[in-house]
Amino acid sequence: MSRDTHKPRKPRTATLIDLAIQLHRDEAEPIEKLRRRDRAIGRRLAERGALEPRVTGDPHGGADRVGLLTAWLAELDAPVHRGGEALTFVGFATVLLGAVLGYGVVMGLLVYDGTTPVNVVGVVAVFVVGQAFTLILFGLAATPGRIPGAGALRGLSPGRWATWVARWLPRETREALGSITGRAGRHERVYGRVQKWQVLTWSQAMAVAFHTAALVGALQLIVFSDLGFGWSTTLDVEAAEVHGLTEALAVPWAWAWPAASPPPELVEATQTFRALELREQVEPQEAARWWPFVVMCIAGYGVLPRLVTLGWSRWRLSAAVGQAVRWTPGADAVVDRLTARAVETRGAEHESVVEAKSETVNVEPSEPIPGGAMVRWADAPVEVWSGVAVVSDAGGGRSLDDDRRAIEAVRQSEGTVSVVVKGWEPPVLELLDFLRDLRAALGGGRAITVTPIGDGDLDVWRQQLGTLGDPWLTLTPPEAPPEVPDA
Amino acid sequence: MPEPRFAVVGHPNKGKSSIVATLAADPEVRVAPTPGTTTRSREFPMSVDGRTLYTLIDTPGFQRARRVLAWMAERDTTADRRADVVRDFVDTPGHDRQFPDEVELLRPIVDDERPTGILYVVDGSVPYGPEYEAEMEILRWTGRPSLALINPIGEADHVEAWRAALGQYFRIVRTFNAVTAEFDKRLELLRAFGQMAEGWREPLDEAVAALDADRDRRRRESAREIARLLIDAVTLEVSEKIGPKDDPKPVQPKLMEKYQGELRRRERRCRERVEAIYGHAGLDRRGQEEGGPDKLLDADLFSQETWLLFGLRRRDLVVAGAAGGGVAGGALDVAAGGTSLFLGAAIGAAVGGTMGWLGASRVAEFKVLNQPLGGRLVRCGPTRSVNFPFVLLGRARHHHAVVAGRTHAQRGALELDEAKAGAMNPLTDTQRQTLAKAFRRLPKVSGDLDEVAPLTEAVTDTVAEVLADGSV
Repeated sequence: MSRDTHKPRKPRTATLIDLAIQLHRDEAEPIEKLRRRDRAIGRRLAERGALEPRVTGDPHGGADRVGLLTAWLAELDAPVHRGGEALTFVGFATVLLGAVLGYGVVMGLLVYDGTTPVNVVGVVAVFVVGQAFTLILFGLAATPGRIPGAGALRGLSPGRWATWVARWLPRETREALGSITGRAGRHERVYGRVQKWQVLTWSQAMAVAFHTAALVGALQLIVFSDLGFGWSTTLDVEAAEVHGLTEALAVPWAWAWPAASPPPELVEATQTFRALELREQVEPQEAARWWPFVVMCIAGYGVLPRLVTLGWSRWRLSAAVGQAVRWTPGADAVVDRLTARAVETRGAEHESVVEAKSETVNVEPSEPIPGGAMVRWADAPVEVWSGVAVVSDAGGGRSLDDDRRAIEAVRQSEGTVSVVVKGWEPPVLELLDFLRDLRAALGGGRAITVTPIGDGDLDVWRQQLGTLGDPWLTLTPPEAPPEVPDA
Repeated sequence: MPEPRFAVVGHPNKGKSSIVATLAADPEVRVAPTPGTTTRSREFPMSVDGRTLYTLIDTPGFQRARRVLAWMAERDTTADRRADVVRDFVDTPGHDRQFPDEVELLRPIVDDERPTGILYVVDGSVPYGPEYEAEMEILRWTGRPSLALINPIGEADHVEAWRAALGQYFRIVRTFNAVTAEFDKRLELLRAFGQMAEGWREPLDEAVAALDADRDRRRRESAREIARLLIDAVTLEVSEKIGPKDDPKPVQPKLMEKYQGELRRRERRCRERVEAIYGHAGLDRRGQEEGGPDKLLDADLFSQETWLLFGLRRRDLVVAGAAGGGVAGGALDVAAGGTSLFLGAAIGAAVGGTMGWLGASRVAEFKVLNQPLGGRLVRCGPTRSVNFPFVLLGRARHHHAVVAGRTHAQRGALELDEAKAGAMNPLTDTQRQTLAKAFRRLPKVSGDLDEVAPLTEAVTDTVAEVLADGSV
């Protein structure tokens, strides 16, 4: 299908298979990817006027939705067209099988070696009575499925043979058909009617091929050899009765081709008995006069009705396909994706991942050292511990000069320096800068403890303080605040 | 006019990334307790059909706000030049190494070509502290439109104190819990963004309308998935061939296991699809890995507790059973030539109602069918339980409510509150009757699309209606 076609063609079974295969493929794709892809197609179709107002206005719009789905299939970057390929193969094999059978049957029926005439009764039995019987079966199978046994009849339809042909299909096509069969099994309510009419269409195509080949075979024998016809039966039947039958059969064409309606004298003259020599019973010229009747029986009761049933089946199949395309599970979502505006909110690029630092700091209760110093960071709400010699405040709303003064005050004290922080706040770099400056002022060896009060993530504190690489720095868990004895 | 941009800024670990994850519906945003998780500004454009309506920018947190402010304060300047000072700070060589986080977060704000508003985020569950003032002052110096968001990561105990403090720096102060915010709250917040500056209202209103429509579409898509599950469930049958003389009894347990297994599998598949529709793919797996399965959602489909919680109540069952069974009863009336004075319908209703009370063990019955070519077929299903599809719908509705209401800032397993599950609005009588009729009719018309199509549509429409009314 051309990309420039505004109005897509009516969907065929191949379209339905392609649609089912595509939807099956899409099930494995992330939904956001499908949204982007289909909305882009939807916008292209809208620009070309292929999005009918009925589709855009009504998510359940009928025929337009089918057209939209067909157009969508054609617009896909890697469209699947396995459906058409498989169906063409199966259809061709069905027609070929019918033609071979038809040719074979007519060659068998019209065997003539000059001793035994071709029995017209056999021709009528196969191409008139047999056809009437199979047409009745077709009629029953084609009913909407409420007649008991109609389903079983469809199962016996020669169209079913076509499914065997699938064994010789290329692997990918076979697998595609297999997935459809599986999907059809799960969604019988959607595909049931298509399956029925596809099988019936194949069976009627096969029947048309059968009768056309039989007609061609008969004409071939008539033109390129001489045939002698007669009629013969064990039953006690008068020539007049047989004539009545042939006359009735020839009614449809007798007005146009009188020679194709055997006259009573021909019927009477061509009754044969195998016990007698043919030459003694029938004049060769008389025996040949049956051929127009035979040809018209094959054409009128074989080819013609089958062309009608084939046309009918194809029409019903087309309607069933249109309905199935519309109701195929997942098709609604495609129409939504094609017509709904694509809303994107996610990040355009992936986030770079920051590796967690592996260093950590020791966690242990601080030793009770009298005369130590205490620094309250960012106004951490804590009472001054008893016994602490120096208390300073830093961070928070204070200036950087205040921080420097606090460090100087602590430097002049002795013992452990306890920095009390709010455990619920994260250890930002500003605090780490302060601890680094404090260490620089104190020099190595003097203990610094950091005590996060309140709720906090101790692991985060350990990890962040660990980045300082200070061997004399420890983290004091909030559960065990240092108890400094009175001096 | 360029589209509005919003830089989400604040102290480290105050939920900036959670806000972005929720508003951008992006599960890939890293949300971690370690400060410094976000090191680069990252843009989240909101676009409709490729046209960007606004952009969110996730930024690193302030790490050395006092030092930055000190640097700025050293510049001898007046109020009208303060924005230039901030720009100078960003452009000064070496600052990107000395103050990488501040330079990164301030750069989009001072970009004159693409006007950017400020969304300042604080945690309302911890006390206010003076350490925030330096960063708020820096933001004030930028002169950009701004809005403060109080995001209570835990209990919202300190919201009022924060509101009082933030009110001094920001004209608009909103409380917004990024983890639990319902969809309407998110839209409301976006509308507030539109009030930050002249000319921003229109794109933000358009964005809100588009997001609203998108939400409706997702709900409809979910309704279709759930409707498909329900229709598959009421029409499902599994069978096994046996010999003409074989006893069907030994086959039945295996067949029932297969039948139930198939239903479970389809329910799981439906859930996965609903999760994918809302951009939460893989939730079930994550739940099992991290916190164990959720008790309510993962209780077996055929367990008593599931049926008790999600099944129809006695009165509703009678209504549903009557709607479904009445059809069969109606046939009796026809057979009796109408002389039964519609007694048939009453019998059908009574039978339907009784059937509804049967438990999960009677979800499907066995039938032995003779085959045309010899042998027999033991068939399990389709279900004749009135209650079963409603149990399935109840679970699906609940799962949908949890998934649709889940923000992308939430991490971990799906959780369901039993009290809330029980408190969901019951179906209306009309909804129950529509569904019951469809559930009863569908197995009988399988393959006849003329009948199946309107029933499918009716189920889908009703489920969509139920989902719209089913927020948890």
